[in-house]
Amino acid sequence: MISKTTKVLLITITVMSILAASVWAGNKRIMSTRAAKVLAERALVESVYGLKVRATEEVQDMIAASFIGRTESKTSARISGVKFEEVIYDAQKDIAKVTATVQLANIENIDGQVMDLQNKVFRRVAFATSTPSQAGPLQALRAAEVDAYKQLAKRVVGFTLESQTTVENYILKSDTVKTKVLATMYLAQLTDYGWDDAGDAYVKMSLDIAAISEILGEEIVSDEKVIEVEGAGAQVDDFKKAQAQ
Amino acid sequence: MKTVSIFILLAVFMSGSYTFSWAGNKQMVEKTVEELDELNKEAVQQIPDLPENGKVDIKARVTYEKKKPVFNIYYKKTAEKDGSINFNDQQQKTPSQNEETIKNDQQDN
Repeated sequence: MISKTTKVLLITITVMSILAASVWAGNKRIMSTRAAKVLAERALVESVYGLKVRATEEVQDMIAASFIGRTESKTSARISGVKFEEVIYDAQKDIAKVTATVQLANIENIDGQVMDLQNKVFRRVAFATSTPSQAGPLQALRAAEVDAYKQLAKRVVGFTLESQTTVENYILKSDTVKTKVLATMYLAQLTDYGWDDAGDAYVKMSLDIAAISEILGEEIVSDEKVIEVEGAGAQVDDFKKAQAQ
Repeated sequence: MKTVSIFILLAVFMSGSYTFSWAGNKQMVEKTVEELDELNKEAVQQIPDLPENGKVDIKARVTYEKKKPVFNIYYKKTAEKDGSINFNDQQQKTPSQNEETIKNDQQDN
């Protein structure tokens, strides 16, 4: 039989371990939520103030293994009056979801133009985790977001194409194809996001040309009223594995 | 027979799961490469004096109109494979080259 002292010791250890676990969970919750709030603020800055997008793509002989693609986004601004509408924390996955909003009368955008925002409410959602094993879907979502910004920049501003092509009996064979895009984007709206069955993320973005024209107070020549794009991001880098083979 | 059927079903399911777990960026890269190839071919086909055999280098500014790319080619260099023939010690074909930089306000940024 177990002695009374052993019983007390076992109970103490159990209680201590439960308490320790709950304390740890509390810390994770705070860290993940705080990170999600920061990311939601960044998303709002990118949407309202704008961001700089620089992207390059290069492929040789149309062999996917030779493909090099790089997209960078950069922004830096302080926006006051950000409100966090909704904070959801999934304790099991350690993922925090935060919805942030901001309502501004006007703002000077990344290009130094003062935009009359007419007190329009901008809303963005962000996710964060402090558990590295849970970061995959969130990283894929950010990759999809940056990809959407790149596609939007390509569609709105355009890009540079450089290529070397071989012609054989009037049949074209691309040897080297390079594209470059450098643009500033603002007032892009995230319309939808999610993950497919395979875990790859998608982000749909749109740019309302008429609304931007009104906000900027200048006419923007475009044959499209709304420009819509869809960005994609993956959790698994199986391309690198294929390259190594 | 029943065991074989179950085994086949299991194998099909397993192969499906295998594909599922392999989803990643490889497919995305392959799609991008295909799009780049199509885009380049479309751009090169805009050149009026395209050689039958040879090399074509271009630089273009691409914008979109009605969701379709519009190419503003500001540099092109074409080299024809079947150019002038030198009757020297060694008979050889030399490519004829044609380089043209089209002045444009929308050149590379």
